[in-house]
Amino acid sequence: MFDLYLDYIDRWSHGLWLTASMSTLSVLIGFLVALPIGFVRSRAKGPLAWLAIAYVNLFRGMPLLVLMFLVYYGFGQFNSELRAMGLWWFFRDAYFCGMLALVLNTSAYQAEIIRGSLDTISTSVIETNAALNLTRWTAFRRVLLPIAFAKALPPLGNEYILMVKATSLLAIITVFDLMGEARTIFSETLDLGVYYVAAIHYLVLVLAIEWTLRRVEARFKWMA
Amino acid sequence: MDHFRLLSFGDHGWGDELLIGLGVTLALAICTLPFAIILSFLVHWAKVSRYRMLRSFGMLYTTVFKSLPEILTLLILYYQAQAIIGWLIQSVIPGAHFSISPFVAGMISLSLVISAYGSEVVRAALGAVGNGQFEAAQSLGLSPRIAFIKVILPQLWRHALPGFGNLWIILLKDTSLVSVIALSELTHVAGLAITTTRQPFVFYGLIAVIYVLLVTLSATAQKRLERRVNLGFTRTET
Repeated sequence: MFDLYLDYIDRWSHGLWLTASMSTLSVLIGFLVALPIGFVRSRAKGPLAWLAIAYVNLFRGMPLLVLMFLVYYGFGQFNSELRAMGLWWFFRDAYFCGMLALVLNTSAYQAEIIRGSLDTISTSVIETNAALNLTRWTAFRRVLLPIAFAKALPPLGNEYILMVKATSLLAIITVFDLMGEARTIFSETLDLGVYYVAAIHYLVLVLAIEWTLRRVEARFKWMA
Repeated sequence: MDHFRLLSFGDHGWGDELLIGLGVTLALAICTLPFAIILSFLVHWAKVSRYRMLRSFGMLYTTVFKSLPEILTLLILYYQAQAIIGWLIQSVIPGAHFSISPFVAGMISLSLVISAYGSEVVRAALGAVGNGQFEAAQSLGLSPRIAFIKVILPQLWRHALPGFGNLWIILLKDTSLVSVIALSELTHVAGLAITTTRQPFVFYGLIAVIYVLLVTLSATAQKRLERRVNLGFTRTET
């Protein structure tokens, strides 16, 4: 099994890099998308809130695999229209399509996490803001957002780990992440050990992230 | 319209095939759930066992199956089980051939993954019931087995429902992964339909809607059940 790793070390490290970078990037972009949606879910009423609920239920309700197929193959059906709109370069590329699917999926989950943490901030904090004469924007930016972030950190960390695992689905739409590299090496060698090498990669990666997250969480704990 | 013909039943449309695919998806999820729940209890008991070996096994089990992507677990299990059982059968009856069905492989690997998360649901639910109930049952002279079945389990249900409800939804969506080893469930059937009709958006869009509906339905049912089991314990929200 060890030689399966050493013989293909370039491909393994490329796959590892791609898995780590794509999952990290999708979580970060997803967070930026989720922030306004989560805020709307927590505070707004009316049409805007319905829109946010629809977004969250839609992208949490379908399997990520189906979402990837829909973005990559489904939109490919409209290639002449997309070409006319000048978007074809995006939907032609499995990396961009996979990224879009990951961001849509994770932002829906993160929006619910953010909503949850905003909802559990105690009313005394909000009353204190009023007592200190903070404007709503300042109160939100300097008080509510940091507290919400500290509260959301553990579930966001879980979401990050779920995304690391979810990137493995990219292999099915021909992206060469860890899983994709494993599949090609397997098709060349027909040795089951390849998948065990991939499994060890995932195990080490996830454990390393968990360890880091625990240290970061410890620093923010006082605020949550 | 043209699209309706694609989805019609009979020889020309894919309606009946998709319906069967939906049936396979539901069958897989429903067959997996009881095994996943039982395994969750077993894994939890392993983790709190008084034997050190069993405890570390339980820890290893959850760490591994929570860290590995579901699809990797599925592929390893599918090929490895095939290889091992094939080898065993070969050594007993030379020349015999064996292949594991994708349905069973999907069931086993999904049970493994779900139970890794499920063991934590069990832990939290048992904690919520509290050890006092068990001690009280024992002081009344009930054997541990009877105490668990007659005293703990009926109270556990209320606390475990939200956790297992969420896992059911995850399970329902994860069945789509089994299409990778060619089980003809919903996602796989849609893929087949697309290779002949070349209408990926229609079919993937349709099954996406079906999954969303299934999940919404499950979530609604879960909420109703939760309200029902919590009657008399918490104030019901209107």
